[in-house]
Amino acid sequence: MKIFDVLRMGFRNLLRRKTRTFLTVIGVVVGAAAIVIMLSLGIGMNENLQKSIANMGDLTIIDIYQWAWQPPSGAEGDYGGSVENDLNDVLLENIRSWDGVLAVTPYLSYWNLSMKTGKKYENVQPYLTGVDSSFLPYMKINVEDGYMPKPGDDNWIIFGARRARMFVKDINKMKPKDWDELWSSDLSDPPKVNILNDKIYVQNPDTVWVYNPSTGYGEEKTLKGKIKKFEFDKIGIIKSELNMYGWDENEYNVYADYKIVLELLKEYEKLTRVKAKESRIGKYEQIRIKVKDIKTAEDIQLKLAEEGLFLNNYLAEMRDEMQKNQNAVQMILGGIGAVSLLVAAIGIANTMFMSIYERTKEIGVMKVLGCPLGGIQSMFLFEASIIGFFGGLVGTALSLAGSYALNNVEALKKALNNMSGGGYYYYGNADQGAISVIPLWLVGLAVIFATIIGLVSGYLPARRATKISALEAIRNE
Amino acid sequence: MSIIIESIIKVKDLRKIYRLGKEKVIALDNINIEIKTGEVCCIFGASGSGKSTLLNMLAGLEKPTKGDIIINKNRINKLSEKKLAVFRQKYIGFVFQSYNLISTLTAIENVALPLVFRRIWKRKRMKMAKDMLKLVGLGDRLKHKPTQMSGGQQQRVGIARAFVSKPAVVFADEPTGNLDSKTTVEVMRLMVKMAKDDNLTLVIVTHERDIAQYADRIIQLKDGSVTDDYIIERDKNNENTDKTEIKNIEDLGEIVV
Ligand SMILES: Nc1ncnc2c1ncn2[C@@H]1O[C@H](COP(=O)(O)OP(=O)(O)OP(=O)(O)O)[C@@H](O)[C@H]1O
Ligand SMILES: [Mg+2]
Repeated sequence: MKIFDVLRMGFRNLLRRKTRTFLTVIGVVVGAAAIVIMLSLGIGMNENLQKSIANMGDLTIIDIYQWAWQPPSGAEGDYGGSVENDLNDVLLENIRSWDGVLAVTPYLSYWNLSMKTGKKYENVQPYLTGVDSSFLPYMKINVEDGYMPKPGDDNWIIFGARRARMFVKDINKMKPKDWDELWSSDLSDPPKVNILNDKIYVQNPDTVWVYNPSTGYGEEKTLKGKIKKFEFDKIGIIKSELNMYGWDENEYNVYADYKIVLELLKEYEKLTRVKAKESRIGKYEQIRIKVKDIKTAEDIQLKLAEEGLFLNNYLAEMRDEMQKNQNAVQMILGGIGAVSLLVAAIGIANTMFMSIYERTKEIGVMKVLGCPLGGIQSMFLFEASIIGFFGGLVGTALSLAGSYALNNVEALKKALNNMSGGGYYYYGNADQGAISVIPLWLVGLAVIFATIIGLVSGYLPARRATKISALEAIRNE
Repeated sequence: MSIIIESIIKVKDLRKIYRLGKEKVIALDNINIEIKTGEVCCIFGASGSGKSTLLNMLAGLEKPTKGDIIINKNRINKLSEKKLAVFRQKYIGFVFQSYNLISTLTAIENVALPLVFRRIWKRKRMKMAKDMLKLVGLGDRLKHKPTQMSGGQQQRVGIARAFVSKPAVVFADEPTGNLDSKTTVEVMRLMVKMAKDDNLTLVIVTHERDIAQYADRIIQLKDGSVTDDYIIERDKNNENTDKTEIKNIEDLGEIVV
């Protein structure tokens, strides 16, 4: 039998019992629409989840803190606690050499300093965060005005938008009005003091606060000896960008080359005779690592753990937890869809069996006339897959309409949000995306899948048809 | 001086037993027959004598309990279902008592059906079917559905269907069983003519004495065994006179057309 004739006869047989065929197709339509809508809800949720995760932070950046929080192990009396990581230069260089590491920087902060411009404007209560300039691009730091430090630069310093506006002539002569203005001036106005065409000088001050272990208090101490002035001529101002909580993380920050921060620290410890045991030199507060991709991030985290380092893995854990919940919801949704499709498949099989019982004699006659077994089988398989195909086609079309309704009819949207995805606002996802998402591949897949369901449902009936004896043609009812 | 004609059908020691629970029904026993190419052969016998059983086995619809059936050098009792389908497609035509036309197909489509299985293109097979229907006198009923035709017309469609692919052997089980006597004559003549025109072998099963007169050969069955087997030799020169010379006929009596 030629394939074309198989198709022709299959169609004819389907049209012979229009109502039955129609009802069977309706079954598949419902099944296909159900599974597509359910999957689309799952995909929609997942997209929102991914958005939330993306908002939670860059997952390709790994942070190691000097003081890491260890959660309770679950053993009696273990409430968790902080443990110390030894973040030194050896480790830093070691990490830098690992595969998939794009950049790495230490963090070293310093707050015992005075900061002045060449024109003697002084910054109010400054503190410095020393990092490696090669890491700046990964910290979402953009310099709006002035100099954007490049890898390998030294003598660079960049200011958060407000910090850059905190240079004053004389701190001691400031009135309350001046203070108010300091905290609340409009960041879109140009700064009163232009620091970009000037130089910045940073040094340990003449008098510092020193912790006295014997009294347990800090006390003022005058530094004796020559104090070095560090000059910065590569100066930039960081563009103010709001995070998802609505504030600028770098508003008050000052970043500078970490080697200079280290110099300041060394000088301070020398002048105040800090004991070796209490020295901060060679102990970074934090190491940040930028890696190629999320997969690498997981590998590197494992590797760090092997090095004996403790990581604060809140983000990954939270993400895993969310993903796990998500998967469970998706499984349930998929399950509901799958059940309705299963019912549809049984419907197809039932229809095909009925049609075979009806056509027993006819099949016998065809066999007597020399119809090849393959021809009979393909005819029935084709009929079943056509039911699946049209059911899938109409069902998918229907679910596209349904998906549109879910996304655009407010009442539906609200109801569904309360039911399932509402909780995501909690994670700070400001703009909730579409509830139901039907990507193109899902449309194609649904139609193909429904057709395959038809084919599979038709298999047993088709086998049965080929086994009908030619003698059925002779038998008189 | 006779020309030796190859036997197209050979049946050797054929036996068919039906088992109904513990009971055995011997439908056929010890059947040995040879039928020659181009022969019009009539299997004749009373109801229950095993005619249909024999025919079904010859056509490969049923397997014998014992013995061999060789048609056109194919030992068909040894063929698988799949090969049997191919065998029937190539060599066998079948005319049913109850016509068995496919009810959803028109006359012409019914006739073309065996050609569909033979993978013949639509245009060609429709032409063949149309010619065939003209030949059986139904040139004006091409698009009629079976329910829109009389029994005689339906059977003529059935005959056209059986002969359309010019099979080596056409089997007919009580082809006129449901027809009145006038139509019976028409249908029988038609079948014999078509077989003779293309030198096809025709095997007809009947329990009606009158039908036997169309045959070259009569095989009589009784209780599953061949009781008589005789060849009717017609006088070639006197064919138009409708006078038939019959040899070896004891049970049939005089046949006059
Ligand atoms: N499927 C079957 N199962 C059991 N016995 C059967 C079966 N088919 C036929 N028989 C028996 O075999 C014998 C021959 O039957 P068959 O149908 O060949 O007779 P027949 O000569 O064609 O009769 P009729 O002229 O009435 O059609 C009968 O006794 C019948 O009961
Ligand atoms: Mg019979």
